[in-house]
Amino acid sequence: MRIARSRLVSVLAAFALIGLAAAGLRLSEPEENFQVISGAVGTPVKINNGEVAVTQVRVGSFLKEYDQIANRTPGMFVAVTVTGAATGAKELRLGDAHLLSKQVRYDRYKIAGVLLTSPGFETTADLLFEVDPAQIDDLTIEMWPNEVIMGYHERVRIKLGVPAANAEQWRAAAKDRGIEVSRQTMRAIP
Amino acid sequence: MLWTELRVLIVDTGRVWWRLLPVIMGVYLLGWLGSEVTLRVATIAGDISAWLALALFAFSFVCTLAAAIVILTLAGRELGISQLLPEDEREIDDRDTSLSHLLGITLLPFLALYAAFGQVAEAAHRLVTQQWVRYGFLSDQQTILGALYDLATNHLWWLVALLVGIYVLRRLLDYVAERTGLRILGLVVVLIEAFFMLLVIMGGIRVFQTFRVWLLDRAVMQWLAEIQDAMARFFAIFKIDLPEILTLTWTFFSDEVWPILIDVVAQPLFWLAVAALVFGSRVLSLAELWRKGQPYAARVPGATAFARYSEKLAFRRLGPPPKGIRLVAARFQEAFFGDIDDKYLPALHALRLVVRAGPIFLGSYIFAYNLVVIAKNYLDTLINRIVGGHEGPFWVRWEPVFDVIQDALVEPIRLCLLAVAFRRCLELFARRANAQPRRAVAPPRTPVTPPAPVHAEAHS
Repeated sequence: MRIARSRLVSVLAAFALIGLAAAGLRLSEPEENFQVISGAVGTPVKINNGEVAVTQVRVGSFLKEYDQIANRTPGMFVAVTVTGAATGAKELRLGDAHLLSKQVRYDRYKIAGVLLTSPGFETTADLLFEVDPAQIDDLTIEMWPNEVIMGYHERVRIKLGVPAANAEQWRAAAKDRGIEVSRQTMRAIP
Repeated sequence: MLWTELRVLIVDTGRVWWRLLPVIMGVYLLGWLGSEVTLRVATIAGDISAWLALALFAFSFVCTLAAAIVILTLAGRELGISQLLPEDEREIDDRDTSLSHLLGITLLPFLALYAAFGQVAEAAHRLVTQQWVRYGFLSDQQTILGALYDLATNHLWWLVALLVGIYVLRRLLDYVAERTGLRILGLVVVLIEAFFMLLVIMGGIRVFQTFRVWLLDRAVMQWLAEIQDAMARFFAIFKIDLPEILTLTWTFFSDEVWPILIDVVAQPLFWLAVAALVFGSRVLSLAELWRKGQPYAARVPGATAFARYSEKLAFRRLGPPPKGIRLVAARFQEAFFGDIDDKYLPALHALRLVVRAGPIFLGSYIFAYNLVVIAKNYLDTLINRIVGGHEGPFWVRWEPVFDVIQDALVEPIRLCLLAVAFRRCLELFARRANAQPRRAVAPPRTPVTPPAPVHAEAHS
């Protein structure tokens, strides 16, 4: 009886150690394979090969092209104007972006091209997203190079200034408002 | 007792690692250098032939494995594992001392572990990445994976014929090497075996994927889907959402249970079993006998699971040796099953052996092993934080350097832990074997009856 009890205790102790090891291993595994570079709207953020800035955020319920309604959404469109300046010796590449709101992630509305900027130039483009108006608290844009071969890389995260307190104002602003998405432009860094 | 096991494993590992640090670090770095140089040459060799690149890729694993075996042997020597054998049984056997023989015996289980735990795929990915960088993504130049994919999907019988041909060639060279005693042939056999194994692993994955795609397109899969839908409709009558329950169960199993089973529990045990093979068949046979509580004197050549195939045959054989067709059949059996018995089964037997070392030891060992992995993860995070985020080309160029920084620190500790854990296994088996005869001679427990009082006798 004593042997059986000590064996049971041994087995329980072994399971406890395995549980501890599993918890430790889970905690030690890196969740993200990227470095977050945080910023705010209107302020350029330094990254590899240049600077990135969000200059404007617009919301609406339909898209306009040449004064015509192009697309409507039952939700909300968010257009984020981004400027990338290649201040370094290499070209600046921003291959992909998405919007984050707490546990929700919104991909880009259309499969859009890469924001590729040659050294000495800056590119401005509107990145378009379709979001659920009920889930826009702390809306943040995340941008990264999205290369074929990627290691531990940089991701720019810029909060768009939509805290829970004024989310309602953003929702109201989007109602019956159109967004004209401008084309990508490039110019020499002034 | 738990604390003792943990203390023995952690403190002894630290001691052995510290004592052997310069030597094992040197050996590890040599192995790493050999592996890296071969991998780079394999990338360039891809210009000539994808198959040549695969052969060199196999050699890079042999370099890593040779370094691991040397480190394990050094740690085993430092811990006096062979000293645990009784003096009259400490016979020097070429099988247990020659590096090429050790490589031959342990290559398959080591490569199987590398494949099972993703290291082969990781190395293949690195090679392919290097080839992409060299040729560009839109190049027509055939990569290793491209060649294997083509062979496995379009010329499956060629792949099978290639595998059979390589296996026969290896067995033939094995036989010649055994007869002539030429060590260089032993090394060639190891290289061919590594090439064979990588072909099986990487080609096998492609064949499996092709089979899976073929299977998904069969009518039987539609029948299964229909059955699944019918069952879902049936359970819906009782307000039971069967698909939801199955999805949740599967998610829990695949995301929570499976990683714990594989990464936390199976990986340390498999590594310990394979490391045990490095310490030699005699040590393992001794451990097996101790585990069964048999005295070592009871050992008869061929009686244990770790004996050579020829010894086992001699042990089992009754009557005169076979003649004629039976002799041919016996030779054929020896050529194929002897290989399996000498190289593949010992790994399974070693696993069975270490699993029976007791729950406290196993729990402590698994915990200590995972501490090493956890340290490696944090080191990886630390290096990433220090170096910061960079573009792909930066990592292609510098990743080997960052890898060696963490691997050179962690891998020798892991190998020392394996040696310490195996020695502890042997000590536990020996203690049990010594305890059992004592129990056997102890008088049987019978209920104690008090002697009759003398005065009662006087009254009668």
